[in-house]
Amino acid sequence: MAPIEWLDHVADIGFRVVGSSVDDVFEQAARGLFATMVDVDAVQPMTAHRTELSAASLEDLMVNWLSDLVAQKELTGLVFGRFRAHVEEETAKRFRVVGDAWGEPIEARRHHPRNEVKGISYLGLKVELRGDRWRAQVIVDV
Amino acid sequence: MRGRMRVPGIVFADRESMDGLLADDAGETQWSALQQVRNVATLPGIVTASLALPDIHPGYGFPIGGVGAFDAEQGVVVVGGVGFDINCGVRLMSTPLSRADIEPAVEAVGRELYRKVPAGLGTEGELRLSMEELDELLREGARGLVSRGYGLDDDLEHCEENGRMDGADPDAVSDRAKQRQLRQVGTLGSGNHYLELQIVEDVLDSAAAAAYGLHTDQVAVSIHTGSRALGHQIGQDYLAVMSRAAHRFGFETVERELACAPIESEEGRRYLAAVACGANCAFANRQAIGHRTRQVLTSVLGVKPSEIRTVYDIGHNNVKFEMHRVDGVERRLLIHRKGSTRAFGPGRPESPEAYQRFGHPILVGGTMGTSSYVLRGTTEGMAKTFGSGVHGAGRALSRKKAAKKYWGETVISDLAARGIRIWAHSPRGVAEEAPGAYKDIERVVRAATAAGISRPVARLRPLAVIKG
Repeated sequence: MAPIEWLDHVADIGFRVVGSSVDDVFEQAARGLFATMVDVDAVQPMTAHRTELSAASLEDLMVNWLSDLVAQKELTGLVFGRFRAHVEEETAKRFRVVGDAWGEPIEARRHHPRNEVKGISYLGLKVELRGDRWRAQVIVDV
Repeated sequence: MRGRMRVPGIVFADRESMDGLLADDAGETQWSALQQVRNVATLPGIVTASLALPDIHPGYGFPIGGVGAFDAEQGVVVVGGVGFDINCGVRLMSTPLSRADIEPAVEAVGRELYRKVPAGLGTEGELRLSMEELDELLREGARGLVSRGYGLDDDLEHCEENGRMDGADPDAVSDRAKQRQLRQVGTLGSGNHYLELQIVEDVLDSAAAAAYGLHTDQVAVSIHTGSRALGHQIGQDYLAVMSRAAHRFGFETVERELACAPIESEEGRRYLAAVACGANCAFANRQAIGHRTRQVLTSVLGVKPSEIRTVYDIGHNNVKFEMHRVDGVERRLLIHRKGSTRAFGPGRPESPEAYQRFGHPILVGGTMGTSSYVLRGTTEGMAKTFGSGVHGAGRALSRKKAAKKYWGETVISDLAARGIRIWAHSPRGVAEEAPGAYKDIERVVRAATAAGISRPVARLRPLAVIKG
């Protein structure tokens, strides 16, 4: 698994992830999100959830993708640990993601719950291609 | 950026804090609290100044400890001035118990509170509501729960807004926000939320303390939590709505979290109606946990329920219409307080009748192992900060640094050695919330006193802490 770089934000939690493609960086960001909440590598991929979202920019799409996963955690009772995303640029100002997340019901003894994410902020938000690597930076309100 | 500020920025802080703020400002400006003070000052309709209080640290759009007042007709309402945890706040409850009564029973009471109050990621409340019942809760707040038997009428009389914000419209809240909340009523959450069994260690203003029903050696309980998933989803939903609104109205916001719309616009009105729902959800949440705490103290120690009183319940992430005197003229303003409480001085109609002489209590939460404070507002503070006060110590270390520096189990055992028992669902969370990760609350309270915006009334020390 690609490493998650944790940022030094004074009040909340931020992370940077790198991906080989825009799809990969969305998947890595989802993993980073759940790593703020649980021991993400201990989550078994038992149940799938699919989502389809659109937004006017990649940054907005990232916020929508991650905030949807946060909501689904409560709506389904699952924590997620494995992700697959397909991101498309439909038009100049419209991006779409079709994403799958796999997880299981939370078990404190295995998943070691950490922080509850209250929201995905725009502070310092980045989704960008640098050279041949995609990079995402996200700060979440806990 | 400085050239676009419509009003000055005013920061109340001691010298050491100010040096730290200036050092951050000279470096990475997107995470500079002073830059956020400047950014708020650019917003349309802002009145007098963009303010920040002694517990200032970087937030989202607004700094934490930030206050912005806007003309009720010409100004805007700003999502970042409320944040994701709408009406996060503190409820303080007093008991007839003394230190001698509680010390033999701390373990039993703490264990029962840990068992009975759901806290931490993934936990659910006992109340199971239908969507219609949740809509009722969003309209009625704590009042709705009291009418269902979850508490006493006296609780509402000692609650900001009497436990119910006017203007709540459940139609302004998404179904997703409501569905997320259905199982979270009465849950504590995690992070910096807590339930503490405390002792009133020191009374610093005997007349005000007596009016608040507090005395030395008294056992009290503090509950710090907010609007849970519903508030979080409202914040997330309206960040998008208000971003589009800002674009529609031609507002060039410096930061996305300062997404805003005119107060008098359709988007502005709907956001305020949704925020009122979030506020009522938080009041109801603290009412439910307060009621459960009352039940535990009754069952473990035989205290009469009516003798466990709500001293006050106050929020620190809110937006409210208030009348204030500006340049000699009474004006209706929309006051955003982000990580800041109301701190009204004597004689304001918003304060409970029993507290009119001194103003309502201001509840300033500590963190595990540190003191909490009860303060009171001042007439001077009404003029300086639109009657706004501090809410807590503010963080000094990032969660990353705190998790590296502290080990949860060690923090728990160190505090136990000092007579403070911790029950926590997340040892890592305990590390991140270690006392050393926060600024010195004594300094924050001293700075607020020196600035003339509040006066200390009582200091409370924790005996037992429940964490998510």
